[in-house]
This record gives sequence, structure tokens and C-alpha cells, in this order.
Amino acid sequence: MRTSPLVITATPSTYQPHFTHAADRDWPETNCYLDLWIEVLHALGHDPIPALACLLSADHDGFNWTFAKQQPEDLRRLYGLEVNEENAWLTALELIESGPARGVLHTVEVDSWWLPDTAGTAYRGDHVKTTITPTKIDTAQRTLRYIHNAGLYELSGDDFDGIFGLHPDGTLTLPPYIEVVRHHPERAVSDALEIIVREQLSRRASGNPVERLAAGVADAIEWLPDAGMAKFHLWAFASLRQCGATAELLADLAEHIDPLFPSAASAASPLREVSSSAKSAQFKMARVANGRKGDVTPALSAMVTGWQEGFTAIVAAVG
Amino acid sequence: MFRMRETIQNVLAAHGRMAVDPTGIDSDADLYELGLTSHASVNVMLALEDEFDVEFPDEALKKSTFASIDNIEAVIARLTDSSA
Repeated sequence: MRTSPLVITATPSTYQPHFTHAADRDWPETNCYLDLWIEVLHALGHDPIPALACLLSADHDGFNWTFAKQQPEDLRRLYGLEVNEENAWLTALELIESGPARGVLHTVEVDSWWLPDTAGTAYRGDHVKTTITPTKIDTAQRTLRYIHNAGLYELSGDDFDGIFGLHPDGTLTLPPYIEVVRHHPERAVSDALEIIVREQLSRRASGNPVERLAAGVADAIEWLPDAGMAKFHLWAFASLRQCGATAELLADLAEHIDPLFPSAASAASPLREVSSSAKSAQFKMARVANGRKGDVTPALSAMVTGWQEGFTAIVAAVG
Repeated sequence: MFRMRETIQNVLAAHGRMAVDPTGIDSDADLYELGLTSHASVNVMLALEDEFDVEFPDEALKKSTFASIDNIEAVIARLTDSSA
């Protein structure tokens, strides 16, 4: 088996996150897996935008928006990266320690409770499942450098013990889900992006998925006031954030594929309207959840229209 | 105006969950760069509306409104002036 070693040597003090995670974005954080792979690819020197073609098949099933993930077959054809579930016969700590010698990277499910980069949300406050990629581990010093969400960070000491279940009273009940990433450069396909765009578009949602999302938002106006703000944040993450972030990233993809599919970039503006309107709708729904009145109809209408216009433009360009 | 800024800083300290103390930052500093998340900005908006007894208009319900103390202050000043 011929593989090329995968190493990320960047340090938190000098690392520049990908532009999709800049502070001026509507949604600098999307979901943990999508964000993680954007930064892993960026840190490896790849352009992560082509892998966002997976978003072309994003949908709303009448209850939930797609929790989007870069697809393993896309990562293989675009970058020669093979992603499989790790054979977890050792502990998470031991498997991660094995990575550098094997030339592989891992994605590991962990509890945000122990991740200091989540100080604005869950750190030492909530138990939230998320995914990281360790880039450097020093068990003797109890330090871990890792990619998470929008950047590269480091944790140590008590957080190190916590994340690996090393506290006497904090052993992990279940072993975490771990993926192993290997590099087979020869498995990349030269015209992969064109192929993947066509494949993903052939599986695009029927009708307009934002219409289904909007119906769910209208329904939430009835139950959110009794649900509390904690439930609101979970609901908003799963609905308005996932839709808005999908649209904002699809706008970047539309511009990226314009040389391959002329006029695709005309989808970017209406898709960014979806993104910004989703942000506005999120603020308004927070007000509703807090027991006040709010008319979210204009924002939802703008989202529906923007999605329709954006996809009409992409479909026309791809042909 | 000084009291308004102080109140905004207090709201940010209580609800912003940023990496720094908002009472010690420049009024034009980018709050998102300083760790204000989407999650926290929603709580900041609600607290500001309660504190100043205002309602942010539709055109102000966007991310940039909460990007700096200056931006927040400008919107609230307009709202409190118009209701005076």
C-alpha cells in the first residue's frame, strides 16, 4: 500500500484560517464536520472550496436540514484523501499517538466541554459532541494541538485528561467515533470537480427545500416561546444556521466553478441573500423564543426567492 | 453617551462570552475577532433590547450591527433619539 505521509505543522500563533471562516462572514462557523474539513484541507495546502460541491444536494426533509459533510468519494477524487472509520482496538489516545508514525491524520469525536476554543459557547459549560483533528500530541507534557471549527488551537493539562477520559472519575463510557485519513495522491482525478458538480446536482433537492424550512420556522413560532432559549439555540443551529451557511458556502462554490461552467457565478448574489436573510431570521426568532412578537415572513420570503434564483443559475450554467 | 457605552459593555460582559473583558477594549474593535459567536450575539441583542427598552428594526438585524461597540451604540442612539 503506497501512501504519502500526512503532516500538519502549522502552529496556533501563526495559522491563518481559511477565508470562509473570517469574522466578516455571515456564518463563520457552519457545522463542526464541514468546518473541520475546510481547515484540514486548507492546512494541508489544498483548496477546500471544491469539496463544498457536496452542498449542491443539501435538502430539507420537512423536519431537518441536511447536516452537510464533505463526502469520502469526493475527498478521494479531488485530493487523493481516503477517509475510513479507524479500527479502534486501542484507546483514542493511543490511536492518535500512532498517527505520526503511520503518516495518517484522524478525525475524533470529542466533548466540547474540554475544548478551550469554545469559550464563547460550551467550554466547561455544556457537553456538546463535536469533531477535531489532532495535529500534534505530547502525552508526557499533556498537550494536544488540534483543528476545530474555524481554526487551530492547543489544549493542555486538565483539558487533556478530560478529553481522553484520563480523570479517575471521567473515563469515556463509549469509545469515540474516529476516522483515519490516508493520502493516496494517485487516486485523485484530474477532472473530479466537474464530475462531482454534475453528480451532486443530479441529486439536488426536489422543489425548493427552503420552502420546507420556512414552513418549519412558521411552525416554531407557535412552540418556541414555551421551549426556552437553550432549545432555541439548538433549533436555530439545526435550521437557520445550516441553511444560511450552506447558501453562503454555495456562493463561494458558484464563483469557483465559473471557469468550468460559465455564468455559474451569477448564483452567488442570490445565495448570499439567502445567507444574510437567514441571519436576520435567526435574530427575529430569538425574539419570538424570548416571548415577544416578530414577523419573520419577509426574511423567509427572501430566502426562498434567493435559493430558487441561485439554483436556477447554477443549473443553467452546468447544463 | 458615556452611560450608554458603559451599559453596552456591561451587556457584552454578561452575555458576550468573549475571550476578553469588554470594558477594556476599543470601541471600534471587532467583537467577532474577540470571540463573540453567533450564539452569543443573539443573547446580546435580546439583552440590549431589554436594557434600553428598544426593538432593533429589520435593517439592523444583521451581523454587522453587533460587530463593534461603536456600531451597537450608533443603532441604539438612533432608536432612543427617535423615541424621546
